[in-house]
Amino acid sequence: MLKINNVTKKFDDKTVLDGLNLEVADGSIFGLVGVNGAGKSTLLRCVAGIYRTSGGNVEFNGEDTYLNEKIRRDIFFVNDDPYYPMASNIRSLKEFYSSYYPIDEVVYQKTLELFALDENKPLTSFSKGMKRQTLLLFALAIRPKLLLLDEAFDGLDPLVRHDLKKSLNEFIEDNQATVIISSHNLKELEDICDSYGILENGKISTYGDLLESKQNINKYQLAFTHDVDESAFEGLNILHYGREGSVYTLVIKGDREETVEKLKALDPVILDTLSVNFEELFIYEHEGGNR
Amino acid sequence: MFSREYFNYLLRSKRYLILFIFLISLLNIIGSGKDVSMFLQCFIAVVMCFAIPFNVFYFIHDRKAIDTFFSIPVSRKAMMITSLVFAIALTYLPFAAELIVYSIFQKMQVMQILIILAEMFIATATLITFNTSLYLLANNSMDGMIMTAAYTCMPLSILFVAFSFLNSYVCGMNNFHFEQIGYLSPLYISGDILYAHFAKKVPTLSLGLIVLLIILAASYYFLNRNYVDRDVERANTPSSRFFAYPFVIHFYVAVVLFLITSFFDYSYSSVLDFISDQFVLYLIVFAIYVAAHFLYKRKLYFSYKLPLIFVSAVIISFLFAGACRVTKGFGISYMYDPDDAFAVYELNGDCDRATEQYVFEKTGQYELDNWIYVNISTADRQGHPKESSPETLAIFDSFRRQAIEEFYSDKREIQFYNDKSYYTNLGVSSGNNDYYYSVQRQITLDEMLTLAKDSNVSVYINTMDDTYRLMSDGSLMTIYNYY
Repeated sequence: MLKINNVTKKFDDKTVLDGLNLEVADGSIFGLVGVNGAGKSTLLRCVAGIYRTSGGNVEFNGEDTYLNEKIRRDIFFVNDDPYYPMASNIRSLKEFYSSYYPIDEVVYQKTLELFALDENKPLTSFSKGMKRQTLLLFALAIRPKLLLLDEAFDGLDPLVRHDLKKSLNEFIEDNQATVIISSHNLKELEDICDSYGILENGKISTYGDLLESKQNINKYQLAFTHDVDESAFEGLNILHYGREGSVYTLVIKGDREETVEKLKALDPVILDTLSVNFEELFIYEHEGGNR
Repeated sequence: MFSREYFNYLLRSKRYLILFIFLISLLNIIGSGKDVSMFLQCFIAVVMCFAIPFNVFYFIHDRKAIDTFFSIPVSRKAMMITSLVFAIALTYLPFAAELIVYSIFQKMQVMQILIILAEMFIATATLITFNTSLYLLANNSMDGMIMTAAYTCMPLSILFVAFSFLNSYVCGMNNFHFEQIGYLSPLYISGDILYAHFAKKVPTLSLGLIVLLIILAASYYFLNRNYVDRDVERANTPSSRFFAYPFVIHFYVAVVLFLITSFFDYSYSSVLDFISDQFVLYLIVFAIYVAAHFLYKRKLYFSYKLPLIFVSAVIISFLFAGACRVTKGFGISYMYDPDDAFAVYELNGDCDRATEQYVFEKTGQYELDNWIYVNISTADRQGHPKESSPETLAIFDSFRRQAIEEFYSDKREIQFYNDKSYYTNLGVSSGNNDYYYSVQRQITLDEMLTLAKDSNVSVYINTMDDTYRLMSDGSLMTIYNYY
């Protein structure tokens, strides 16, 4: 279990994380989303024990990830711009990582084959996507209990993304590991995450089960023969309100059946209910927070 | 506190560097044979004390590398200690190997070899730790190198400006030795210790070694703060910590301003005249001060604070010079002991009319344009100090006191005698230092006769280059006569 307890991180006068609390259960894939500069990478670095928090702490399986280096054997962090020592190749990286982590040789060989990477080729000759694949190769072969992926899908071609998702699912099934993925590509996260959190103003503003949340937020399209004011929708948790002529588009948070009943009471000529995807969920949650 | 895994990683990743260093050392040993010289190895060791920290700790200035290294399961403390051990071993071992070969050829005693090895280990550990703490003072690699160079040069610049300033504002300061300032530099101390050994001096627990240990402890403390407690997110940002650019820039600006002020003489000029004369120079220094901020912040930076601080620093430099003048050199002008009977005193200059008459009568050298010049020394013929009487010391002290008074008078006047300005100079070698006083005063006959009792008084007559020695009974012995 990952527990983030009241974590604050300040960069000089700027507070990036402000008393953030979060719990992520074992065996889940948690999607961390937020606008640019929201502090996703900072949060992941605090979790990985790279950054010292300005306040609060991060515990994984009851151990402080910054103070207890032993717990970091169970954690692996893949950053958005991987570093490789000069003149290194996959083989030399394997030497490096095998000094600190046990490497599953079967998974290593399988993933190496899957990603079609040459072990002996210098990493300088690798493309950005291949470099990222290299680090993901180790992330899977090390089999950490907590895997932190910062913008993991960036620079990967669709085929590799597909393979990676598959490998990640297998990895979680086999290890009951926890994965936290931050990404801008919410469509990618939607296919793989079971829970999510929206990082906003230094805090997790919304979090929960992705499927439940998606069921709880719906888009309603209505048309009226008579003029209806926004005040008519009072009592509903509206995240988005739009009107074009007599057609209204509302994104409402709440039980679908109950909401439909309330909307029917307004006597619309058309009432359509649509599901939202993760990207829309993020946008509307963000918009709703600003309403 | 030591990570074997990380040490192995360093050994593996730096294998070509290790090979290169050992190859150079080996070639140096083989190439020089029996004439093995420690010079090249000392030079290599010094270069490595600066270069190795840059190589081993470079990753701390690279954000991407930080993510990799600080997320691995090794504590920061263990990583720091392991890196230090690696850097020290890499620098020290080739040096120690060559030292052992050298000592065998030089037939040095085992105990002396062991002491040198121990002292050089402390010196290497100190230099590596000191330079690493400076490198980590900055937030990026280039600044780290600049900080290392800036702090390494600080004792030298203090020495330079102190020498120039004291020479100008403290009467009597000449060829003053500031070995103590060298104790601010671990590089100087290390060289001094090594030199002491190779100059065949008996190795002892010197003050330098104690200072080195203190510097080592202080450097380790700062390194601990700069590494273990480091806010790594500052990597590749301007080096804004107080002891980084803010201190370094202002330190060197102060050094330059004090150096300029040391050329100013209150007796002959006013502060405003001097500033107006040197305005272009001040303008250049200010431009450099602004440019240094560009280097610091990596962007064009100008604030009202910059000219304000600069002008304040200029004012402070003149206030300091003024205070130095008012207090007659903060008392340093009186520093040597005037009762030191075994100091070497040397007085030379012009004599008064009565003395000249006395000399001309005794020598029969009557010429209208003749004048005499006197040199008085308390050293024996071999130049060694000999004891001076209290009367002799009192005469020298009266010259010194007058020189100090004149030095700090508002307007130094040049006096003339027979259309010629006259000066008497007093040089004193006391302890390790030399003092020099210049005074507008003629040596009297009484003074000369008193000094002749226990000093060597040489009298020169200008026209013929005749030289006489004034004996204690007042007679003149011819040393050199033109005819």
